[in-house]
Amino acid sequence: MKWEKVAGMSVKSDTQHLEFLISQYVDGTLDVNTRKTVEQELVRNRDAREIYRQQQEVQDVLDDYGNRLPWINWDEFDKTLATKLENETMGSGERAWWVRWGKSMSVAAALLIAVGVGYSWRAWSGGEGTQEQVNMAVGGPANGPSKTFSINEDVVARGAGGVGSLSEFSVEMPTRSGSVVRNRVDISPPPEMAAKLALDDIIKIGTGVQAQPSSVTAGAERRETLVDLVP
Amino acid sequence: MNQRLPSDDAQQAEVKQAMAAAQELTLVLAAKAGDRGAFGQLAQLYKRQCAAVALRLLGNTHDTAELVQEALIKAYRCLHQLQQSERFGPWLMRIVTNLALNFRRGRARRQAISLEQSSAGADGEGGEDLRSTIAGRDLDRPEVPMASADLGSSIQRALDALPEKQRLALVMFAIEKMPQKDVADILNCSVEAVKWHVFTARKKLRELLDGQI
Repeated sequence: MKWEKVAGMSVKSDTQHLEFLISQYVDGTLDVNTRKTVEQELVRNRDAREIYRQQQEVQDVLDDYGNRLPWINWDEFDKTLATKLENETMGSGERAWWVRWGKSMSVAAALLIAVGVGYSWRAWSGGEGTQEQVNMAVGGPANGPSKTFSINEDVVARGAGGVGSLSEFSVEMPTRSGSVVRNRVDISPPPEMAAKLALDDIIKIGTGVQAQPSSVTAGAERRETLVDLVP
Repeated sequence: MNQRLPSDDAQQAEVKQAMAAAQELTLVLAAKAGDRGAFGQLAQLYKRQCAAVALRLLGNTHDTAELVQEALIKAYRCLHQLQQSERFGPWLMRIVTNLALNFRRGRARRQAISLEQSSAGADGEGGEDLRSTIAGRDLDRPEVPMASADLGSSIQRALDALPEKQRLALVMFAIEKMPQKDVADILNCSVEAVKWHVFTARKKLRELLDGQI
């Protein structure tokens, strides 16, 4: 069966379409050509006449219903309305600026809070910012406002120890839930740099200069959660 | 020979319509400039049409009168927001239909709560009144004879059972004879969609009133 779209709705092209046309014929909203086509259809098609009869019948009932005006005491209505209008000022329906902008402002505030929470969470749980703070911890005491870094003594000893011996170190960080998160930072150089660094070490050993890890960002980071480390 | 052609009548009707539109525009502009009297005249022009539409949507006269007052007051407060002054009528009718729909939704919620309360408690007089209200028996139509009032109540209940857009399109276009373009503006849809809503609504109404017409 062929279908077509009328005002975004699917219409069967035969009976339903004819019904739709007859409905518009009853309402008198068809253009001249379509009206003539419908009239020809009404003359030769008995079903079309029946559809027309039914639709006209409903419309007649609606016309009759529409002729009944609601029983309202209009004098009383006018008096009340006049009194109410006296107390009204034009433009008082305008919403205050804070109501009109309230929605935009609340969205902006929610966005700001979300960004703030996200940033804090990232910093708190150890993201990119951790390594920077680890560097601080290696260089001296951490000065973050809410976090305390403790570096394993053996790691510090290893870090401060022999030439080129430091390939990883870990940082233990207590969380608010009572557990402790240990960040292991692998600072072994990537393979492509290994040969060059080995050569540097040989040169440094040869010249008596102590080797130090150049950067903690060179390697990958592993993390494990150690439960119940905090009493 | 002094025979008038149909085209003369049509022309005269067009001229009358244009004059009425110009007069209405003058009143709207005066009201916008702060003339309360001009707004009062606009209210006089539209109050019956507002009441008729509100009544078809609400189903009782008392709420209708209150709602029309509310709509006119709201229109007065917000008149300066009306961009196209020549479209005052459809703008006012949109206020009426929005208020009526909000009122209906509020009433449906209140009735649901009352029904829960009455079914939870003893089945007293209040419960019976409420059920008869829902059944449409207390639609007040003192100006309508009894048999006709019964059909009127049936039509009102059938209208209530229609989907919102179909009901609005049928009430405003098929009953209140508002122009399709105005109805389309109020319903925020195309003229074709209005025709479709009217067609489907009339078809459903016939099914709902089966045996009564």
